Amino acid sequence: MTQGVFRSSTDGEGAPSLAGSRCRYCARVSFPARPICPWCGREDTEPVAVGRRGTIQASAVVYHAPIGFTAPYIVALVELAEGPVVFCPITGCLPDENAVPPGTPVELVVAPARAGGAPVFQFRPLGG
Amino acid sequence: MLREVVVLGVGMHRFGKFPETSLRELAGEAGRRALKDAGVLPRQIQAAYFANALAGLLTGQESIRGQVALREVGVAGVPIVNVENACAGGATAFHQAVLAVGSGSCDVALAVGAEKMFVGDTGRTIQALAASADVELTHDMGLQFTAIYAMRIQKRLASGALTLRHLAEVTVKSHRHGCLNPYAQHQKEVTAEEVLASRPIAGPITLLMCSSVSDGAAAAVVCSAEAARGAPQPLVRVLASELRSGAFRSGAGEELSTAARTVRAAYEQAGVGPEEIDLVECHDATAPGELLYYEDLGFCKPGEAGRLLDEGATTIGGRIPFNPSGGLTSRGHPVGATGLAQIAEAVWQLRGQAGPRQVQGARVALTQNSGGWLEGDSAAGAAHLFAV
Repeated sequence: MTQGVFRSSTDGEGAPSLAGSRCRYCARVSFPARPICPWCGREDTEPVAVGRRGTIQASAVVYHAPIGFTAPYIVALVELAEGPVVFCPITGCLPDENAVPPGTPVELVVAPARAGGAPVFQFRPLGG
Repeated sequence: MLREVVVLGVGMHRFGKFPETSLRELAGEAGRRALKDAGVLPRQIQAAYFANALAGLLTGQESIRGQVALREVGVAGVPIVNVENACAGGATAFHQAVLAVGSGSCDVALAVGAEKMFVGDTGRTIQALAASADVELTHDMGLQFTAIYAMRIQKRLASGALTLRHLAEVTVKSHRHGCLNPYAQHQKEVTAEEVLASRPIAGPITLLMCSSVSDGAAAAVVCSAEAARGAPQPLVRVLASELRSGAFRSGAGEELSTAARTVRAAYEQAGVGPEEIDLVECHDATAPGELLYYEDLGFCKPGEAGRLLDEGATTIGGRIPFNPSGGLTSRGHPVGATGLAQIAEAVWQLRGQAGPRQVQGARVALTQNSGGWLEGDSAAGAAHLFAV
């Protein structure tokens, strides 16, 4: 993970967040942050912290893991509260087919997804 | 297009596991076969486009892949362009060759796609495939492409539009077709029970539903209609050649997919719609993915893919056969070669040379190739329409 994609709770910002951008003209939010608004095309965006909360759009249990990962685990498309959709692992619940059905509210966690891995952004069921 | 482009010849190296065969040898055999099929000598090729996705990571041949490989075809000295567009590289190379001839910048061009995925360590190959996403955003997240398909399929299962039986039956069909294709990696029929009982990969997707790691190559020679006089084979016309990239998504989910936009552009370019098409080669990186394409490419209404399959419409002998070659699932998926293998199949079908898998009376064929993954959709899409 490169610097600048997320802020972890140890960065002095409180709860972790993702580094998005908001268009000063049309107010729409992008993640990752973009210098040009994808929706209205204007080069007038400002940094904004996003993604502390989201909802599950779709998820799947991975049974055949890439090198370094231990199956089973869950990956998902999460719709951030601010609009953008991100791909990431889901943590904080058993890797069960029905663990995080669409619509499940989730919150951001910044932590490695595999032993010895770099910190990445993930989500866990809210209050889970 | 400024002038009409035709396919003069196609050729393939069989897809499968060939530990003793190098990338250049795979490419060489496919390229030489295409030239022979076209009745063209290497020195008549005026430009060449070479597609490959993974050699940089798997063999270390990051640069000048085409210049290295195409010497095996006897092609050198002319412009050679290296094309990388993930799994859509093959059709992208073909698109560039069509543009070169269609624009009048040359009369005869070659497109070759080749991939060497068996390098003694499948884990490394799977890792290399993960580079077909935004690696800054997805690095160390356990991204695995089957999971992407699984998430799309799961939505349809949850809504009741598809059942596990549909996922199994479309896989059975793919393997039945693959049995008839001498170039296919998998030439063995499977039962629905075997498909569902095979090892789970992600969500409802099992091993037998997935395309395989593969070695292989495919090639095509295109030329202008004027230059094609006296060609040895029946001429196949390129009615449309379209390339797109993934668009910005609002997240609301109502936008057309990359594949749908690309294919609609091809329909428009050709003035041809789904009802006039006799066969489709689509990008079924997992067999159930084909079901999504029935809807995306306009062959049935949303939610009706299962019914189209149940009717037998998409099998050889049906109303609109999909993937008579066996598709990616059974032919194998050496990623940079796949798009050109789809095109080779379309050409053989339209010439009536597809043997036991021939779609009777085929006049118009659609090929659809997808590549990479970015923000929830394919990063690249290519679509071609052909006719005799």
